[in-house]
Amino acid sequence: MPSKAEQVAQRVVTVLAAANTGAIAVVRDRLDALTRTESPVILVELQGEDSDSFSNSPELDQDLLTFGVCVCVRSDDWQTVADAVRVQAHAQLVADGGLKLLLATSLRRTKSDWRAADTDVPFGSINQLYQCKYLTRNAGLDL
Amino acid sequence: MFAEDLTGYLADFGVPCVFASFTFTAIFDQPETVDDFGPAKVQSAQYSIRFVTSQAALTPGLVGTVGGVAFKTRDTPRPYADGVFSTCLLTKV
Repeated sequence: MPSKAEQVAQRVVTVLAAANTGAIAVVRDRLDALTRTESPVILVELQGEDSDSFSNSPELDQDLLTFGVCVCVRSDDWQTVADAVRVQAHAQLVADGGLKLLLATSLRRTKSDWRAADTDVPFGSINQLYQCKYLTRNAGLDL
Repeated sequence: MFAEDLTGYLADFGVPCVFASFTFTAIFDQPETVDDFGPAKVQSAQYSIRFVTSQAALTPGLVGTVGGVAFKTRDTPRPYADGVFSTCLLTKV
C-alpha cells in the first residue's frame, strides 16, 4: 500500500478528474512543458511532509502534509478563468468523502499564488496550497 | 554623418508586414521557448519582427499580418542598438 501522502495525492486526482468528466486534464509529475492547446490543466503536486511524534502514543507519528492544486489556463483574462476552476476544485475536495476518511476534518487551504508567464498566448496559474494532518505508525509509512 | 541605406538589411530575409496604416518590411523570428513558472513549464513561441523604427509606430494590441499571416502586437516596440531598428513581440491570432 502506498504511503498516506501518496494516497492523498491519488485521491485528489481522482476526485478532480471525476468531477469535471475529462473537460479539464488533471495531472501529476508533469516534467515536459504544457503545450498551447493544453488549457485548462490542473497540476497536483506533493510538496512536503513534516512528521513529529504523537504525544498520546509512542507508536504513532503525526504528519503534516502540504500539497498544491495548481490551475493553469491560457486566456487574456487568465485570473478570472483560473479562479472559476479553482473555486470548483476546492468545493469538490472539501466535499469528498474519500478524503474525509483519509484525513478526518483536517484539510485546510493555506496559501494561493497567482503567476503569469511570458508567453505568446497569455498564460497564468493559481497554485492553491493545502495542508492536512494524519497519523501514521512509526513502524511503516503505509500502516 | 552619412545617410544610412537600410534597405540592404531587409532585402534578403524581409517579409511584408501590414499593421493598421503601416506597410513595411521586417525580419520575422519565431524561436520556441519554455518558461518555467514554478510547478511546471509552459511552451511558447517568441514571435517578433525587427523593422525600421521610423516606418511603423506600432502600439500594443494592433492586429495585422506578417507575410500574410495574422498577428497581434504584444507590447510597445523596443529600440535595438542605436534605435534605427526596433523589435516588437507578437501573438499569433
